Amino acid sequence: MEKENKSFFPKRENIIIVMAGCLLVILGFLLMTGPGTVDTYYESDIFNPRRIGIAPVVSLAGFVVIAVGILFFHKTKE
Amino acid sequence: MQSYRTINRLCGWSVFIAAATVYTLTLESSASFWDCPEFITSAARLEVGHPPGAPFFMLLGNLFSHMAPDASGIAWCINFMNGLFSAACVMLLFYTITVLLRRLIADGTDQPSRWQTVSIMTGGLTGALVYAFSDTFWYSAVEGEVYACSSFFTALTFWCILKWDDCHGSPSADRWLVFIAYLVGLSIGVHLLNLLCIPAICLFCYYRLTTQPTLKGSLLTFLLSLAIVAFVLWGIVPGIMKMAGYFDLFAVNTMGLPYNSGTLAYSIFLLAGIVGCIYIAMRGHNRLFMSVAVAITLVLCGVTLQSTITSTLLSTFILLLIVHFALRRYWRLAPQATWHTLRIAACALFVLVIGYSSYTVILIRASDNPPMNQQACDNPFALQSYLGREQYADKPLVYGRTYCSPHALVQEGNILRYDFTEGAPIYRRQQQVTGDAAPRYIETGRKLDYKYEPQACMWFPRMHSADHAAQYRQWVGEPSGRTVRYLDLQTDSWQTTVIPSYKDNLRFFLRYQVNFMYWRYFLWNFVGRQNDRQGHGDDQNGNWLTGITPLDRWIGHDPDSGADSKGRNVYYALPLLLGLLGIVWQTRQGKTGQRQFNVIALLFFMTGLAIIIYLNDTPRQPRERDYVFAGSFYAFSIWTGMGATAVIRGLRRRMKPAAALAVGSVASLAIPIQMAGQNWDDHDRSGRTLCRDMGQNYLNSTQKEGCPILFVNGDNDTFPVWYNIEVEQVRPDVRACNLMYLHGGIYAAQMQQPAHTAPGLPYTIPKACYRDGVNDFVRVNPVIGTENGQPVTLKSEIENIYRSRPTEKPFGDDPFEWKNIVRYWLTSDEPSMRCIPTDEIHIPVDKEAVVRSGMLIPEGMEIPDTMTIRINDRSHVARAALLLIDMIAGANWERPLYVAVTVGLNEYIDLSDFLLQEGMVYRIVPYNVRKADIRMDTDKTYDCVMHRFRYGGLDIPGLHLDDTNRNMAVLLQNLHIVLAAELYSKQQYGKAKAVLDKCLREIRNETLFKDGRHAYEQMEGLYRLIKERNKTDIKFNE
Repeated sequence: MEKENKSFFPKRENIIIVMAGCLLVILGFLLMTGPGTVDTYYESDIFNPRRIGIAPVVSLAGFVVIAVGILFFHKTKE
Repeated sequence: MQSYRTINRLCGWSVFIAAATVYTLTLESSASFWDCPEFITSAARLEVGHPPGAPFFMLLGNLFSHMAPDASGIAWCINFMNGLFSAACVMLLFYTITVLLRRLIADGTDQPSRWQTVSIMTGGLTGALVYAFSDTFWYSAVEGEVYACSSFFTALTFWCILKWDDCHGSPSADRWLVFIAYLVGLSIGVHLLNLLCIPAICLFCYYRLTTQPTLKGSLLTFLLSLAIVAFVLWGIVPGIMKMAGYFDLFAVNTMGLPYNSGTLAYSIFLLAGIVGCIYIAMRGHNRLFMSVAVAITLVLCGVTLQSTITSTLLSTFILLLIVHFALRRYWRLAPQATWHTLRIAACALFVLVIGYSSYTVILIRASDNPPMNQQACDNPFALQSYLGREQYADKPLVYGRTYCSPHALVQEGNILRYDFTEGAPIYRRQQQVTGDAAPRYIETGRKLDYKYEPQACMWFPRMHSADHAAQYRQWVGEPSGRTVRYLDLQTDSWQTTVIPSYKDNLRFFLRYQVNFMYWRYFLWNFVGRQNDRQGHGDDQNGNWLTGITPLDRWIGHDPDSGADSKGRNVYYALPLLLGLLGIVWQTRQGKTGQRQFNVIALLFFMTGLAIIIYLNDTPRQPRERDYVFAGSFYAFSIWTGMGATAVIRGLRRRMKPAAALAVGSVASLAIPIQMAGQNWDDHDRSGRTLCRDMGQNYLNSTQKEGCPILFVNGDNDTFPVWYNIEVEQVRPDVRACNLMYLHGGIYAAQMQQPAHTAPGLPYTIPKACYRDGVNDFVRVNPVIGTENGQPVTLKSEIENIYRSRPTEKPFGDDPFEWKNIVRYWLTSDEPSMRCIPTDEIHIPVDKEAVVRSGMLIPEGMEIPDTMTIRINDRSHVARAALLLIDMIAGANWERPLYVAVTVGLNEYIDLSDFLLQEGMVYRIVPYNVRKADIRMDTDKTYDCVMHRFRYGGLDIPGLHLDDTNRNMAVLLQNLHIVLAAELYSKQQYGKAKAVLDKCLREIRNETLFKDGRHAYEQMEGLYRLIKERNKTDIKFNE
């Protein structure tokens, strides 16, 4: 059974790449967080380049990596 | 073999490059009207737009926004992204058509002959280019909306299933199914439209997986696919949010943890559950573990959540039974296949949830309180209602009211009241409701759904909106159904009403919803379009048109209306005929052809007529809605491609192969080229920046001092203003406030927060007294009893008290002064006391503040001691009007209050005596402008017109203006004329002439010459008068 499983989806490589993508997405979300505006004080940090520039791009990269991870396929192993 | 693949690839890329070039050349230079400025703001600055939000579009747009050299280039970059997505969509369409054609005419071999190759390529090119140059798709391709991106996802999903088909049977096939699930998950974060291609995909799989497809099997597959759509749309999507909400409620309110800690824990549990399923399914032997894991995961997904605990438990129990018996049965029937399916399904669920997780962006950003933060969905409950678009009125689909159905009543104690069902509770952060910052959720109320008289309800109700009664009659005449007798609570008397018969209902469905709101748009794209003025059912505006005049006259669509406008695009129905030919040809290509036809027809139906059934549109939509149906035009374009191949094959019977190929290819490809020629002039938006510039004009009309407040109302003043403040950082000192949104307590609370350099709105009423559920509708001078048969109002009663006992003064010195109304009435602890006890509100005027404020004080006019606002035309005011009066008192003139000229302020409260025009805004002033006989601050308006206004490319010769743009241009032009007339009457002839000169120099669009003769006659008249007065040599030149 173990042997058969190897040719199944998802393979080890798929899982590793998808997980890496997920971590990137989460990293992006973390980079996006920070202090926010409250009733009495406008927090200009909400437009910090880290939060609206780097963070979304990291998350998007994560989503792309996940797509790659799903579609990744070694032809040589067939 | 190699050569076919190379040619196919090459042609696909050429289509991409051709489409991308056309779109790039015709992109709008900045944000477009309607939702585009809002979407661009949400992408570039990660602020939260209107429900249901588009977080994945935000991430994509954000990436492109970084490519802009400066802030003013961001909008173009996001438009450009949509152009690229559209071009990619066209390329995928090309590949889809060629794959389908190869199966039909080359028996699916990888090596079609040269002859076959050319006819396949012709089909692919024709179909792809017809779609690329069709009206609706091109429109979305050159602006910053989500529809281009959404079309790309649909095309990609459909293309993936063909890839799966290609390698079906090999171990590499499954990944395509999982990838489709991932695309569905991601596309929830763009637009839900993508879910609608699931049925077509399921049918495709069914044909591939069975050896003997039957009608019964196809129907079962269709039902199963609908179940999958429903499972995602009404199960997982809201279920996950609700479940997260209950976890967070427990974590915050019971355990005292910070906000969203429960959400985080829930996400971990959910992912762990799904990963567990994948793990057990991959090992593939422990059936008990598998069943338990599947059950736990489904429950965690929240698909069984109902409004009450008992029904939730019941549905959970039913679900567990289904899981148990289904798995047991299939394990017995086909153990290997069941494990295989479970593995794929678990992987698919995992990636779908991961794709859906893009909504975390909304949750994070909404918690940060950016200046644009619609619905403030900072907790999963709010996010769920945001996703479900619950703030829009719900439309009955299966069973419900007609537009004139009376409310059902119910006896409660001695009182009769309207009957309603209560939905789930709405939870909000305590801080938004009371101002207390400690983390705790408070129930602010429940969503109420009114019930209607059962005898006045029907199945499949199509005419449901009481606000559109007149329009329903316009479409299908007076209702001709049952007469219903009911008790009217307002007048406390028995009334009768006639409800529509079922025939009326169906007639409206066919005549308006199906024909007018779907087939008309379909025919625009494949037959032709009369003009781009919005249609409301007459024969002059927005109809479809063949271009063959006698035929159009016979149909009853005036061919003369808009004959010379750029919005007139006619294709003589050729693309339609080509598509129909394609359908006929395809269905005659044996079983493969018929199955292909079924799949495409299902896609065509689900992305077209099924949406019509779901939307249940009311008449008189604010704008044309063709963009929603781009998916079904995509499906039809596949058939136009088939048609091109059919033409070549037909010709071959009569000609030599080479001649048939040449004639057929040229004739087919001429059709999309003719379409491009017709559509280019009205889809070319390059150089147009009117939307952005109008936003700037509103902002720059306000004075620079005092952090002005600008009230706006509709999409086309609010979004351009927000876009300018947020993205281009024009006038960050202005606080823009949408009056329509101000009806909502949460938005009102948001507006009290500062934004950029502007402080919050200056309410004097505390938050707890304007939150949702408190002072929603405030009575004005209510009747409190009768005396000698005459109604006694609260105002006369109070006046009586003050007359009879002048020393007591129970409601302050002046009981009708706003300060005292707030203090004694609106903020009262006793709900029945909360009202405005007068129809005449007094606001004392701080004269020194008025002098300091910078507003125009007419010469020789005494500033009044009090401003008196009369509300004698209505019995209630809503929250927005209440807060508006409150701000007039709270802003104390030094913080200027402006209202955009496009706002219909009378809908809220009549302030027309206190509005003084400055540029494109009205300033609220404390004196009566009618008495002072002054309407406009001409000095400030002159300054705006001469030095601050921008004109969005209206001076570019040949720039196309559609309906919305034309209206804005006319608004701008009229302002110049009115200003010139005012200046003339003040004998400032030189300035009047300068304004007219500027108007003619800047606003020179041909459309206005044609449609707006009147404006030019007015200008000519003014020039003549000025010339007579001034005795100088001025010539009128157009």
